[in-house]
Amino acid sequence: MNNNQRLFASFATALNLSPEQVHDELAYNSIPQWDSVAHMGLIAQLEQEFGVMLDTDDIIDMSSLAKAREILARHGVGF
Amino acid sequence: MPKLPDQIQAFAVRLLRLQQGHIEQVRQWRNHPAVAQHMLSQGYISPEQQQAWFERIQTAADRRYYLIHWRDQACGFASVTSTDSVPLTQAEDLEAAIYFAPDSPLRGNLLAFAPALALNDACFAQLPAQRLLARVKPDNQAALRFNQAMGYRQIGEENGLILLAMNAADYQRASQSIRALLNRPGRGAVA
Repeated sequence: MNNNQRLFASFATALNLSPEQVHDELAYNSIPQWDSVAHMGLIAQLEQEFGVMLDTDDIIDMSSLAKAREILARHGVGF
Repeated sequence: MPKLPDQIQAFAVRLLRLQQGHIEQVRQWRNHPAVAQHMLSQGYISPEQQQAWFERIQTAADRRYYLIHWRDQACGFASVTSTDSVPLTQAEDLEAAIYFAPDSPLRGNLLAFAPALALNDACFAQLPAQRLLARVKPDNQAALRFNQAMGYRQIGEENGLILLAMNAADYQRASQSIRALLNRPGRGAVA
């Protein structure tokens, strides 16, 4: 599984979505599953999956899947 | 005598005691369908009703209202009320509530917890409150999950609403992981 697939799988797991529901444009407040509690779970899932520790600004900025990829790349994750 | 401060600042948010200059903004948020749908009363609030309400609360010792700010942007409303009209400075049970502006950047984000934690901390630290209560409409699953993540537990139902409560110990235990995330340093911080 490459990092992009791992990213998609992390989103599906954390937000309890089917793989078909996960795409680059997926953003918070666009689906009921992605609320403030799910956002917290998503952070934990991504940190565990990619072995990174996100800072507060990263957490606040993580408003879509595409943004998550950008943030993880800044932490050295290759896509 | 302990009392709530006019300004509460914690977790990168600032809660400012509601002032005359805030109330039109709050009225517009409150009348927005995205906000109104979760309220106990759904009716439209006119400027006159809002003004009358604001004048009434000026002398009320059993409630306190705040405007939530993040990065100097007003983005939500917070309230603390006692049960049975007991002054906040004497009440053992308080009801704390927040709602966000329809376009608030805090909605659906981890940062949504920041004003709630700031308010709850102040209630437990500055007032003799033993419990915080919350009443949530059964269909407002996001609010139920949000409150439960902070330590609230369902204790019953009241007039078709779900009644939740938590004491300081439950709250401290449940909110630990949220605090840890909110207290992380910002980008570029030196460890």
